[in-house]
Amino acid sequence: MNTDCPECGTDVTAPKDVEAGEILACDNCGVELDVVSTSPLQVMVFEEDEK
Amino acid sequence: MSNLRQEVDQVFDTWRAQTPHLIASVTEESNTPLSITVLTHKQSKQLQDALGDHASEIRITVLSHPETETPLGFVSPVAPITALHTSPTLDKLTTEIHPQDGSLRVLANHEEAILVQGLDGTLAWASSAAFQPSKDTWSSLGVLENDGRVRSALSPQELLREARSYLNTPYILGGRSRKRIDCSGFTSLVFRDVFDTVLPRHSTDQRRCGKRTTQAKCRPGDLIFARLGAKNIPHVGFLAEQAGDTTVIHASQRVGFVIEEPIEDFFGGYRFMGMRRILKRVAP
Repeated sequence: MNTDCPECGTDVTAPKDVEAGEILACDNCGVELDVVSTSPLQVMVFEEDEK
Repeated sequence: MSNLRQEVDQVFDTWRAQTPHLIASVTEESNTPLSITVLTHKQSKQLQDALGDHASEIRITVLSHPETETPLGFVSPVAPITALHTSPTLDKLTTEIHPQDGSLRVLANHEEAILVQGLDGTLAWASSAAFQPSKDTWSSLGVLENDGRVRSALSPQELLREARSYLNTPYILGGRSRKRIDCSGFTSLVFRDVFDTVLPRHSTDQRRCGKRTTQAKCRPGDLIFARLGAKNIPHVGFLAEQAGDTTVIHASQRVGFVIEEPIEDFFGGYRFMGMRRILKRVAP
C-alpha cells in the first residue's frame, strides 16, 4: 500500500497488514505519520501532545 | 557583535522564555568557530533550523549525547526510591529511580540540585543530597540488542506474572515504584526486574523498540500502544491472556491504577496505536 508523505511528498509504502492508528515513519524525511485509514491508505503527520 | 552571534542570542532568548533553567552556553573566541553547547538533540536541531545557512559556521555540542564528556561524573541514588523532577525547584515529579537502575550521569548543577541523565533516556533534576558518587558507569547495565529486542530463555508468562504483581498500584504520572506508577514506568520496571534490561523510560521511545507486530499476530507479552481520548499521548501496556481471552495489563490513567482488563474494554477508552514485540525467546 502506498501514499504520499504529506510533509515531503515522497512515496510512502506501508506494510500490507498496516492497521488504522499505527504510526509509520517516512523513509525520506523521517516524519512520523498517523495512519488515518487503510483502504484507501491515508496518513497525516503525527504530532505528539505534551503530557 | 556579529550577525551570527545576534541570531544565536535570539534563539537563546526564545528558549529562556520557555525554559527557566536552560542548560546551554556559547563560547566565542577569536579565530575559532562559534562553539555552542546545548542539552538535547532537539535543541541542536532547533538551533540549526533557526540559523539556516549559518548553521555550518558553528560547532554544536550536545551535552546529553552519550559520548560527550561530562566532568561531573556518575552518581547513584542513596535511598531505595528517589524522585526526579522536571526542574531544579524539584516541585514536579518526572520519574523515580532505584539503586537497581544503575548509575546516572551528572550533566549540570544548580544550587542544591543536579541534572542527571539515565541510560533509559531520563533527563531530570534531583536533590544532590539524594546521591553519592559512583564508580560504575552505564556499561554495567543490560541493554536492548541492536534490533531493539531482548533475547531470553524466560517465557512471556514469567513477564506477565511480574506484571500482575503490580495490579492495583495507584497511577501517578511520573511514578515508577510499587507505591505509584505510570504506564511506561510500569513496563520499564517489569522488563528491568525480569530481564535485567533497560527499556526506555518513556512510551514514545518504547514504541520504537523491538519488532512491529499486529493485532492479528500478537502474542502475550507484546507491548500494546494506544492513546487516550483525542490526545496524541502514547500509552503502553502488556498484552496478556486470561481464560482464553485477550487482556491488557496496564497502569491506567483512566481508572487510576494498574489493571488487567479485556482488550475490548481497553479499547473502550484507548485508541490503537501499534504493537511491538521486545522479547525474543532463545533456548535455555
